[in-house]
Amino acid sequence: MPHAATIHQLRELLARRFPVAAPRHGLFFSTGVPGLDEALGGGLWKGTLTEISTGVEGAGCLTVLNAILAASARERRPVGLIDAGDGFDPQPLDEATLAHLLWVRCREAGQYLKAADLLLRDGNLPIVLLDLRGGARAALKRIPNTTWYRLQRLAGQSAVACVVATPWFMVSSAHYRIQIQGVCRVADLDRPAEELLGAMEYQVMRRHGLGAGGGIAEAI
Amino acid sequence: MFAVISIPGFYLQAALRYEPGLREEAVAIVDESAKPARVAQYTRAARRAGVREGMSSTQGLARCPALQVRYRAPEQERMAAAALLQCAGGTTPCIEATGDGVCTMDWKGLPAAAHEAAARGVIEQLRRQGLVAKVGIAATPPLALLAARNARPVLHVKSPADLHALPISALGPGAELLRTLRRLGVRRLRDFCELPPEGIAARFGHEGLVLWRCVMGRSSRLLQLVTPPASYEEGTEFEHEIELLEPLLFMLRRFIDCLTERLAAAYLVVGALELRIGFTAGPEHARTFPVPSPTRDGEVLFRMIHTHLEGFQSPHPIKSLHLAARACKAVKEQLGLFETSLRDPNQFHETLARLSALVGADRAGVPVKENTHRPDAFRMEMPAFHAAGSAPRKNSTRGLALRRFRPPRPAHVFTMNERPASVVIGDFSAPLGDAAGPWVVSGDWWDSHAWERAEWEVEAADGRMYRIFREGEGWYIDGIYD
Repeated sequence: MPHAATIHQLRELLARRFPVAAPRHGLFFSTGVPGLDEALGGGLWKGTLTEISTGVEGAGCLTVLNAILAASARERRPVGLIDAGDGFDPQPLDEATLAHLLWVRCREAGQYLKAADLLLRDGNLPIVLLDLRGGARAALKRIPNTTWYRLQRLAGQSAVACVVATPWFMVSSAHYRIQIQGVCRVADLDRPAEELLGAMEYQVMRRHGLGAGGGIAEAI
Repeated sequence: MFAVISIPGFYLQAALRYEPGLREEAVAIVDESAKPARVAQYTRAARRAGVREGMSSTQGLARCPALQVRYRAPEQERMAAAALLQCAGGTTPCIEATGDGVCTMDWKGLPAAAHEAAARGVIEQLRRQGLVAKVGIAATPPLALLAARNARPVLHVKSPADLHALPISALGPGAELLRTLRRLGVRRLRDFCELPPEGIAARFGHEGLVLWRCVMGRSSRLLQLVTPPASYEEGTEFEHEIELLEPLLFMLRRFIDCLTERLAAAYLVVGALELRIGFTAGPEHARTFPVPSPTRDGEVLFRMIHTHLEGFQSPHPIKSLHLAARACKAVKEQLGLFETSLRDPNQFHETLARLSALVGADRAGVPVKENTHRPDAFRMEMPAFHAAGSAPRKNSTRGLALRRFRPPRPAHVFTMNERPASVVIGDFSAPLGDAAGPWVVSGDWWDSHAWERAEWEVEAADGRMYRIFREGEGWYIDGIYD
């Protein structure tokens, strides 16, 4: 247990010293959704904020978050989910996936930002999901831009990949902004989630400072 | 070879262990068990002011008005004695609790070249625990004790002649024997050793013979071996009650430093901390802090208690404080190069405590599904990621995820041909399009908590999909698919 930090440091040192030999997948985590991974240039980059949103409610944002949870659990990687509206439903996920999830159920506006601050500062969970889509809209509108820059800096310091699901694009410091577009009908609710996720479109609305040459590697 | 650790002024040192600043001031320890109570030990400043052993506290205060009178603290003496034995036990298993503040060690297996380094190591360990000690090393236990009492701070006696320059009073003879020896011109141990051995017993009696044999290195004895206590506890009763957090934290930091030093001597780490705070009124506050990744890191342990005490309030001042460490062996785990784990489990534990304080204890953790078909039945548990078991193989979920409304929102649903046709929530009304259902679920029919509901998946005109259900006579919106 005490050697875990050393191994993390060793991995990062190797990635810095031997950027060619180091596998690029060491710098990001797969989302479990091939289309989204492709849009993000590989996956969720460590030390960055990725914002995902949909034009309309019900287009699959929470389903994408569930896919990220399942993919991380397959890698035995713990994930933090900060649930602004306490709307996450654990029932469809299996026990093994839930065992890798730290679920923070917020009940008041502002708690989710404090919780995000704590988890990003802590740095133990490699992926932190901040689901703001269930939060009160009035409170979300009052979040100042400086808050997002602070969270981005914390994520950068602790090399945590942070995904923010928002009802509209609001994260000014996001490295990636992904618009999810999908149309589902009642009849589709019986189809496997992987099929539905595969049918969705992931449109990159913003890409900041993440060149294909691995600029993020230097940042980390 | 034997070594003796001696803590001079043991009662005084035990009482002032957590207040090292008082060592430079005039302080006297009064032994209440003696009738009448008398000064037993005192600091140098008190000695300079004329305080002597055997005085009453009133006499001491008459000589030194600034004298601080403290009473013997048996609890703290017990803890200091435990610390002494545990430190000694770090060098050899053969130790004897010879007396108050005196411990004899058999260093038979220790190479001679390492004796002095080991002695200095023990002194340093005890110093970090607030105890000033001296060590004497000699071929016999009595000679080692004599050396310890006169060490500065280590005295290695290779031959009895090394002690010949000491004054005869260093032997600690009785008052009558000391007078006799001085009358005969015996001022130093050398003079005592040069006396003809034949007449020692006749001239000085049994006491003189014992001392002579001790000085000559001819007396030895078997040690009465003891095992160092397995409990690691520090505590104190405050002279003045504490009302603020800062002095409490200051004392706790000292306790933690002492405990980690004691554990280090036994090559152990802290598995859990037990804190007890006593108040002037009301029950004491007790709390156990499990350490997720057992450690001896004082900073980590202190932070755990600090976080807890930051949010702690009491209407009564604090009169006593105890901190005990549950010792365990350090966990050695070899992780694979690409195996993931928490970087700092203790830090994570602290973050979890902060999250629980922020959102509520039952609202941060790992969700565990209950063994029932009742919708939204789960409980929250503390994360144990290292014991999370096998990884899932693939994402086996179906359809879109449901974003639940907790609690479900009541609604009016109008049906047509027994299918939902429109929904009214407050002043808002919307027609419903496609719908799937009803999916009837029920459970607990065998007792009074029986439940039954009919669920529908419906699509609103704007394309959003909801799960609604009918329970009894009412309709509810369970959540929105997202």
